[in-house]
Amino acid sequence: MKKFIAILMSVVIVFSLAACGASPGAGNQNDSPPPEISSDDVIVGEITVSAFDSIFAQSFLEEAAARFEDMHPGTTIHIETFSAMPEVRRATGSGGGEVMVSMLEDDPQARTDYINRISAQLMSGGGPDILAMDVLPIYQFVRSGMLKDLSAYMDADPDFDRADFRTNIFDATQVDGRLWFVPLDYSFEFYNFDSTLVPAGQASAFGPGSAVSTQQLLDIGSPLHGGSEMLFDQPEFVAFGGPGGRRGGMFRTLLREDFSSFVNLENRTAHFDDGRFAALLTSLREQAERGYFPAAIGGEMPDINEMMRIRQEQPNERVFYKGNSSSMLMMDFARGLTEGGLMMFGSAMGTITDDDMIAGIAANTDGSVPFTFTQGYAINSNSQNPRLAWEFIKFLLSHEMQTSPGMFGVSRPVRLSATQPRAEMFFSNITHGRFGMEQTEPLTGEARQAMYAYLETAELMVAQINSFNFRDAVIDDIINAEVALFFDGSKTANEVAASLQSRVQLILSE
Amino acid sequence: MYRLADVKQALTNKTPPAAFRPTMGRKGWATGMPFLLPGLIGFALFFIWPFGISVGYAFLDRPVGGSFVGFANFADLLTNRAYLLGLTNTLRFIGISVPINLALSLGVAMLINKLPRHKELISLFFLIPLVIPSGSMVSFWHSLFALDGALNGFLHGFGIERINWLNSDLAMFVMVLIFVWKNLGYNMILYLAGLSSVPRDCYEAAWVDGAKPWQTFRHITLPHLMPTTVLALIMSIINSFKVFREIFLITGAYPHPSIYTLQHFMNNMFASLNYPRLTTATTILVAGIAIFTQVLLRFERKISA
Repeated sequence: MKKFIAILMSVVIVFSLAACGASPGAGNQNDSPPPEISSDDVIVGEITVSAFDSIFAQSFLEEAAARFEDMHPGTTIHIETFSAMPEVRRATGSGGGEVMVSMLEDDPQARTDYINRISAQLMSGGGPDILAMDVLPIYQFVRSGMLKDLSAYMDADPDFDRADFRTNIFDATQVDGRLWFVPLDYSFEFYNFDSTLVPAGQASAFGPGSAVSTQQLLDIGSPLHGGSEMLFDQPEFVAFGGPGGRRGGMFRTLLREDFSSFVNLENRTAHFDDGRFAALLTSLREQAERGYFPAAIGGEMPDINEMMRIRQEQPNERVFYKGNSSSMLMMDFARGLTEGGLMMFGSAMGTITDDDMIAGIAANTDGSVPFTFTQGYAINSNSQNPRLAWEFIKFLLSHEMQTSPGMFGVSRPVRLSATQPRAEMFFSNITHGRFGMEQTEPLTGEARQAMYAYLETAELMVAQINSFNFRDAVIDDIINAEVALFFDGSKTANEVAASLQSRVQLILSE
Repeated sequence: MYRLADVKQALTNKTPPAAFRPTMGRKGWATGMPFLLPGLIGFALFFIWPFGISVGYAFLDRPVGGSFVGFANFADLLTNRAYLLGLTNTLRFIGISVPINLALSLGVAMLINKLPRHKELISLFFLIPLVIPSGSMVSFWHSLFALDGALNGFLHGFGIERINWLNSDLAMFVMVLIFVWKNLGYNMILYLAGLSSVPRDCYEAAWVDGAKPWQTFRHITLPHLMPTTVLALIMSIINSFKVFREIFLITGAYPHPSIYTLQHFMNNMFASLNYPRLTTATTILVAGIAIFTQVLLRFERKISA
């Protein structure tokens, strides 16, 4: 009997090891030979594209899939999205009228569920052919060999020319010198300063060609602060957030700028216990008490009507610096072209006034200039049809899709030739009191002038982008949860720092 | 027919003579195998085969298109801080919770055993936690131990500062409490069965000899319960791994480091796609449990002989 069991076990082990060698992913790895791509290749088959985001990605991908299938008969593109659609609520606007507002709350559990689901599929040798890297941990996926090297596809494809794109955006997203996912669009943040508050001598260093960090602005602005105005209009901390975990107010901004010094994803080390993190929290608290920025907002996300009421009741204080996203840059240049509802939208986001000038694009503490993206795609190493997957990604990067109204309107396309047409669509619509990309009418002379000014200014800023802040959603969630305990008074800065050091180091040690 | 000499030998020796040992001849094999095969095939297909595959991954450097790396994953794992923390905490948790659980369940079983009536009803009361789904209890535990939870509210009434039960070193206490609450009934039932099998005449003889309650427990009850205790110990250790469900649901994938266990490590390895490390940890765990169970069973056989 013992002999029989021993033989059985040996057979099982031998077959098991053989099965490992022939696992579905075998042959697809980071070090796989470069693909052979020809313009004459026949593109056929089926692929699946999966994205967490249901708002921006779904309609765009469905539109792209339909067009692609028409261009390539014999192909089928399946689209899967995961997150809940935003809830549309009614709210009372500043003029007393009723406005429809879509509310989307950050849902860490849904994100975790999606990541686990994709991970399980990848582990079993399957999974979607194309992965939207909107919430997936890019760094881990690259390190685990789960993504195809897209640099190899770009180099091997005679129909693809990197020079057609913002190469600094591609370069910034590389890991180990290779491109594992392609962002379709990009956004950046920038700072305005109030020219009546900042002396001309200090303002001379500012401008669209400059890069400034929040810490730099704090250092410049602190001696100028007189008490009757604020340095920044963001609260010191916001406990709730929108999609992608974007919560945290001033804390988030300052952390983002110096994140790599606290969490080194490459060396797998955390540095929360050297006193700098506790000092960051303590100084934020002190600065809020001095009136540099509004106090922390805790608890759950308030109802939209409550948010509008808080906004309307806020004193119209003067602010030294305002942090804005690149979408606001476009709106800033469009000021005066329209009236009414659109400007109400602008004021809800944070107003740029005539006194506000551009201080510079937002930079990290080390001087690097990061960007974010709404849609970015990668090819699963397990894909049975990577050729079709690459062709579809290439189609998403085509002029046709990069100028599609379905692509997230206020992000900037990575294809150079799409930049101006998209700006034209925006300025045309805004001239006619619309916000969106659905319809284009000829630009007026004034609107064209504003658009060129915008494009020129944006170009100065975009040229400085040279980094991408790789983040880990799990670490972000832990930091937010711990830091909330400091801002609600449950823990001291040192306790939070110590707790984060042990917890984040634990994650990195895994 | 047995020879008288064999019977005498069987009575005096611990190892019975060959004549008394159960054997399976060629004919017996032929008869028995068809009955064994379905179970054997199922076991091989659903347990041995997947485990064999996972053992294979433990020798690869990455799950997708990995290459053979020998025992590098094992060496790497044994120096991994997260794994060692999980292992230490798991052993600490087992070391604290299992003895407490065994002692409490034996105590409760003995008390119930002495009851003149309503034994079944009271036993049933202790079995309720076993049938309550983990998910449905999570909100209760959370509302009890949260920073602004019921327990802190109660303590606050006495002027005691809020305690972060779930995010401090005290989290281990919560974990032990949940484990004991969940598993007390299971071991209690095992002990009740064990107690009912202790011969009454042993207690009567002890009573006649004037033995005190402690002496009766020490020299009669405990030795007779040893096989039950070994079984309860094995089951408690296995069940101690199952408390992860509640802890995970209450505190998430990355709880306070004091309650980060091997299951957290393995679960997180799965989420982060580190399949080789996950399967290496699983292989070591399975080997560890197999060896430990064998040692315990041998010990049980030795003391029962």
